[in-house]
This record gives sequence, structure tokens and C-alpha cells, in this order.
Amino acid sequence: MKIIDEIHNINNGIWNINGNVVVNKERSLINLGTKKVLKYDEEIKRCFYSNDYLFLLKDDGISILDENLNLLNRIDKNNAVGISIFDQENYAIWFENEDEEEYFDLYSNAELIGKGNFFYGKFLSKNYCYRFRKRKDLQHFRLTDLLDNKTYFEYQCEEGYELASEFYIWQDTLVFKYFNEDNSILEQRDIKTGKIIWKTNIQGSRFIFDEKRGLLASIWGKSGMYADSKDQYQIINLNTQTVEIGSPLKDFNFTQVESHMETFLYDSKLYFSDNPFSYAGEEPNPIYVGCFDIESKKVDFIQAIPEMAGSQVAQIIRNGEKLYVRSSNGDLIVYDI
Amino acid sequence: MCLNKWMFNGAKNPPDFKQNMKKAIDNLPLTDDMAKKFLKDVENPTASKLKKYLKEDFDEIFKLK
Repeated sequence: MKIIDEIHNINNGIWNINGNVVVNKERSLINLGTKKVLKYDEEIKRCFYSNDYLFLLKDDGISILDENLNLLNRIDKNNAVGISIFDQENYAIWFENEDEEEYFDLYSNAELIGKGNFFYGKFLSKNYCYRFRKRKDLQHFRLTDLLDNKTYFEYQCEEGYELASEFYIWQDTLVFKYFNEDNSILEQRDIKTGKIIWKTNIQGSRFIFDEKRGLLASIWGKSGMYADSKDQYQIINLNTQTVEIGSPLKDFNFTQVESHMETFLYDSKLYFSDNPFSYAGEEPNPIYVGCFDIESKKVDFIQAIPEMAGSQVAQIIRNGEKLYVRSSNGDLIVYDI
Repeated sequence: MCLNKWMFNGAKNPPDFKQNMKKAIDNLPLTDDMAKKFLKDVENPTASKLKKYLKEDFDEIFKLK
């Protein structure tokens, strides 16, 4: 791959919004595809994204932007601390009380329809969320609507098990994971009734989810560092209810490929990083970006990034024929694939 | 929140270790992106929420041995 651009001093992530790559750098939003730049002033307290939308938040209101940095909606609301956006007229605005506890106002078609309090969990869509009884109570959840007027089902882990932080809606089902010291289990349940559809043992790894194809994929390994370690991939197909675990086809060893590190799935290509540690006083080790084909099961390439030696790959995004790789030091390299 | 544990040598523990570490957390250059990465089960993850949880969970994350 050939380097076609480098951007430095990115102190935030790079955001993949509707197939556009947007960077937030030095009080400017930059669409790296169109090169459009939107500068924002000191009054803006937060500049972030929620689902497929960007937002700018200040003391007296919130602006919702699309990926091309066009203003979609301006909401006049004082003292908000955040917003969860489903679309430009359906959103939840977050506030904090004097005890720093959060609550939200929920809007449907830009009309206030209710308030939510003491929420520990996450919105999965404008209709569903999972919620815990309290923070860090990871043995139990309820699947409810956002205002907690309706509980679809609840789940209690068996003794010794804990929920993993991976919940996905796929078609009309909820897919989630839980684990103990010895086992990791994936369950799929009907989203409205909680009826179990599929339950299977899996390897404990963090996945990237391809909703369109109903696939969960991961890759990991340290065989270059530990002789008894295996380099492996895991692909779960929700359509066929199959779990495939194997060794990727390649003629070299992984050193530090972690399934929890940022990976990116683009068609059949799973991009991953190999991040060997560097130690003070020694020559920094190079780090790598690689590509695993989930259909051929072959590692297409692995490429050193000498420009980022001693750092770690923090994020990978593919957009068209460009691959964006951001380091933990805030450097971004753009490759032409 | 899933964060690594950090082990420290208790024999070298200065009396104000915990207080100093909590002050250091306040000064960490944490971002909303980091909060989104670490607070997987939290809606509206923010840098300030990440700092708050790091301090609340201090004794679980930073262990003196």
C-alpha cells in the first residue's frame, strides 16, 4: 500500500459517518473525502457524534450535522450534556442533576414524549435499550423501550457468569454474550418475547458485527511471542447458526494481535493491527496493519508502519480504496489500497 | 467498564498515593472517544464520565501489593 496522506496531532478519534471519514482536529471538523472544513468556536463545549450524526453542543443549544457538515437541526435547549441521535427529529437529550446523575428527555418527531431517569445501559435503537439495575451489575439486564414503559424480556446470568459488553440487534432478535473463567457463550433471543433462538459456546473474543450479512468476526494471536499461543479467527454466522474457529492462512506469526483492538470489516476484508510492545531504552518495535479475508481465510497482507514505531494502532477505517490508520500518538496515515 | 488492573508495590506506597493518583486522573487528557471505547455499556459516554468512573472504581483498578 502506498501512503497518500499524513495528518498529525489528532487528539480525538476519526469517525466513520455514513461512509465518510470525519476528523475533529484543533476545533475544526474535517471531512477527509470532500476536504470540507467546519471551524467551531470556544462556545462549543462538546463536538462529537452519535450513530450517523455529528453534533455541536453549547450552553444554549445543540446543532445536529450530517457527514458533509451541513446543519440538519438546531435544538434550543439549555445546559444539555449530550445527545443520542436516531435521526434529526428523533433523539434523546442528556442532562445532569446536582448530584451528577444523568437523565434524558426523549423526543419523537421533535416533540417531547417523556423523561428517563437513572439509566444504566445503552440504547440499541429508538425502540429498544438494554438496562442494568445499577452500574457494574453485569449479571442481569432488561430489554425495554427507552422510557421503560415496556419490558420485552429480562435475563439473569447463571451463577458465576457475567455479561460481556456486546449486544446487537439483528433482524428481530437480540444477540448477546456472557462468560465465566472457562466459557464464553453467545445467545440469540426473540427481541419481543425473549424466546431463545440459538445458544452456543464460542471463544472469548471481541467481535466486529456486520449487520447486513449477520456475521460476527474476530482475529487474534500471539504465536510469535508465546510458542503455545495459537493465531486464530472466529466467524459466527447468524443466518446459518454456525461458529467457525480456525487458524488464518499465512506464513508468519502474529506477535500481539488482540481481538479487542480496533478492527474494521469491509466486504470480506477484516483489517486488524499487530502491536508489538516497545520498551524504554530500546529501539522502538514497528507496528503493523494487516488484512484477513473472511472468505478465503487467508491473510492478504501485513504491512509494517515504521512511521508509527513505538506507538500502537488505535483505529482503522477503510473507505472506498483508502485505508485510514490512526496511532495512539494522534498520527493518521492514509493509504491507497 | 473493562479496564486493566495496575499493580503497585505497597512497600513503596507514600501515604498520599491514592489522593495523588486521583488528582492525576483529573489531569489526564481523556477524550470522549476514549470514553466511548472504554465505557461500552454507557449511553452518552463523555470524558468527564470516564474520569468519574475511574475515580469511583479506583480501588478495583489500582491494586497495592
